Amino acid sequence: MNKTKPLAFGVALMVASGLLAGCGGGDSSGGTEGADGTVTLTWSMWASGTDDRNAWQQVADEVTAANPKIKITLDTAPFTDYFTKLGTRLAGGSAPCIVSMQSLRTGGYTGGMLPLDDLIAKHGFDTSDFDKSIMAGLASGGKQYALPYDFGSLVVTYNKDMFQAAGVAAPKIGWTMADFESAAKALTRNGKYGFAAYPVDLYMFPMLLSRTGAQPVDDSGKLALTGDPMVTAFQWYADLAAKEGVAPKVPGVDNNFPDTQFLNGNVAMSVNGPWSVLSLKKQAKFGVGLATIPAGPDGTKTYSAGSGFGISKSCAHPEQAFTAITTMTSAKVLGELGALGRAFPARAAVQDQWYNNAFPGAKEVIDAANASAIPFRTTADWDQVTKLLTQYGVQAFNGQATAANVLQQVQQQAG
Amino acid sequence: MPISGTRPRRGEGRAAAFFAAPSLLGLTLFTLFPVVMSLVMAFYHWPAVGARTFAGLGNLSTLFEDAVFRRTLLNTLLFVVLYLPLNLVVSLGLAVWISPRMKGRRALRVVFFLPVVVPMVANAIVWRLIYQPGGLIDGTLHAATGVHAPNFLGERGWAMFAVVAMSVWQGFGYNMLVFSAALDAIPEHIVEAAQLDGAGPVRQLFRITLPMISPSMFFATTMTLITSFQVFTQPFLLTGGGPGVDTETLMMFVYNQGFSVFEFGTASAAAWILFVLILGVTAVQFAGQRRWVTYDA
Repeated sequence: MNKTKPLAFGVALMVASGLLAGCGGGDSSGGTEGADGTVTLTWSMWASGTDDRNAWQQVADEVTAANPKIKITLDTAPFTDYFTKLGTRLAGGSAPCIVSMQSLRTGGYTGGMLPLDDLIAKHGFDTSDFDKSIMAGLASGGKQYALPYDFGSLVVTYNKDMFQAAGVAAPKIGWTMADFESAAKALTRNGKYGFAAYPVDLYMFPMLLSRTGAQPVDDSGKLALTGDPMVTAFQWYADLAAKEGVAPKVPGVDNNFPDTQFLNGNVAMSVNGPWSVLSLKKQAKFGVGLATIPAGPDGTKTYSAGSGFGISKSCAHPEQAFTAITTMTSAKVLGELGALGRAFPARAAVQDQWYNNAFPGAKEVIDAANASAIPFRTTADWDQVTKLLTQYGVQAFNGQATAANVLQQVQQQAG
Repeated sequence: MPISGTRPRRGEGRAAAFFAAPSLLGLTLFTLFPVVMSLVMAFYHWPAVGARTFAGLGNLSTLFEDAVFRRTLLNTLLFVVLYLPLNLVVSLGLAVWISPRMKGRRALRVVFFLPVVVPMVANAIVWRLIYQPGGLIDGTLHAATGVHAPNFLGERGWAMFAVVAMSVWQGFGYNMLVFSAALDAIPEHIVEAAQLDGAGPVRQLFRITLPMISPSMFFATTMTLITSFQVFTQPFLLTGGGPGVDTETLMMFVYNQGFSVFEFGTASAAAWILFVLILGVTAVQFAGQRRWVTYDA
């Protein structure tokens, strides 16, 4: 027995040290190199179904078609889980080589991502065709972390059939908050509602911005939820459900709530981005129309947001990864994604391909929204802020707490 | 096999080590290492990306100063206090009810056990449809009386009860099966003897049935207590911890700290607090079992 003890101890030590090394290291994750110099890179992306996944797989195939020495392994997760997975993988040193990033969340993940500025300069890559606001959205601290594939300004989507049935005039570009409120009131009948109000970032804040000019993050980049224009605007928005009754009661935390309510024909209006407009149009069993965010005292205002592809710091083949993301954001690929309705292209040159598949009047609305849009500023812990807003916000929408109360709680816990 | 009294022959230890090695290795890799690692992490400030620094007891004091953590601790205790007795009463009641040789007994057993087998995610979706405004309860009530039901998952004061109700429905089947098997194992002659001695049904229940199944009750109580302290899936899927943090449990707090805030240090510390809590309560149960559990049949 005595003889085996040192042996067992030695084995345990070796195992433990091996594990520790695996835990801390991982500088060669996310890609492998074959004997013939072919590099296989992993790419992590969010996708909501098979159609979505197939569209992104096609993008991966395009990379190999254009660069035969680069192969891409795609893995996908639903949007809400994607960032949880990404954070865990960055922490474990096993991040994918190519990281998909949303402009609102860029600030929170810069620690694990490679700044692209040097690679852009080295390859003389021309970024001038990309929309400026989304390039800025995917940068942080003066460094570019991703190349954009889509962007868009938040707009109002409405159910044409419900407007017609209620005899309400369809919303036009430049319609006002007063128009919106009277339409919402008129459309609330027979157990249906005028609008879907829900405390999730992209759906809620454009309405608050247009209503009072309130922004969740101040010029210095700090969370500023408890100031006055914000509290007034949030109270007004929550009261659409709590007091006015023109929006349905919110059944707890459910981030798909506005979309499902709209698609079920339970609400006549909701806020959405151009990235989902064409898929909404495809799924809806009614006519879908677009309008700008209703104008407040200072005219219509909205936010722009979008997404792109970056490279993780732990990627062993940054050169090949850079080549891959330039192909993935090329005019050819973005044009195809636009035609499919997967993305509103971040390159101005190919946006027509999206419009061709949209509906009459869409271009005017999107152009007007883009003209009035400002980039959505966020904090590094935006995931946490979003989670707290939906968790606490529900109370304000049910009239169990005031806006001041809810925002105070979120500010205190996240700020 | 060595005859008792003789020394084991040399070489047997080595053979034993050889045969035990796979499971020992597995135990070390997948149990001991993670456990030790999480204990180490509990004493570090351990962000997902960036420098890890030794924090000593800092994580613990951070946790106990955090109003949200204290609230989740209370939420967890509230859940246990509500869930455990309800679960036991429902499962025992139903087990006793279907115990006599009644018709359709097997079918009932299957029906009652069904929620345990159905994936929790599917259960949660159905219960959401039952609870939500315009859902089954609200819709039926509104159609019948014109009054709206509360927004069960979105209103303070209702959400936790809604989560407990769903949990009891989904969890009682397991204990019912345990009790049902124990009831079947009670020897007929003991019951007969009691009947001949003139014991009524109530006296039989408290003097014969319950003492006879007390080992099963002890098992069910202990296991249910442990799992109810670790409750996660039901509130995570039904309410996401809301409204506010009214239904956020300790396990959800650990998850959020780890996978949403990416503070693995405080997450590990909170997980160890939960572990100590469960260990303590289970120890008290084991100490107390002598008073009410009878093992001699």
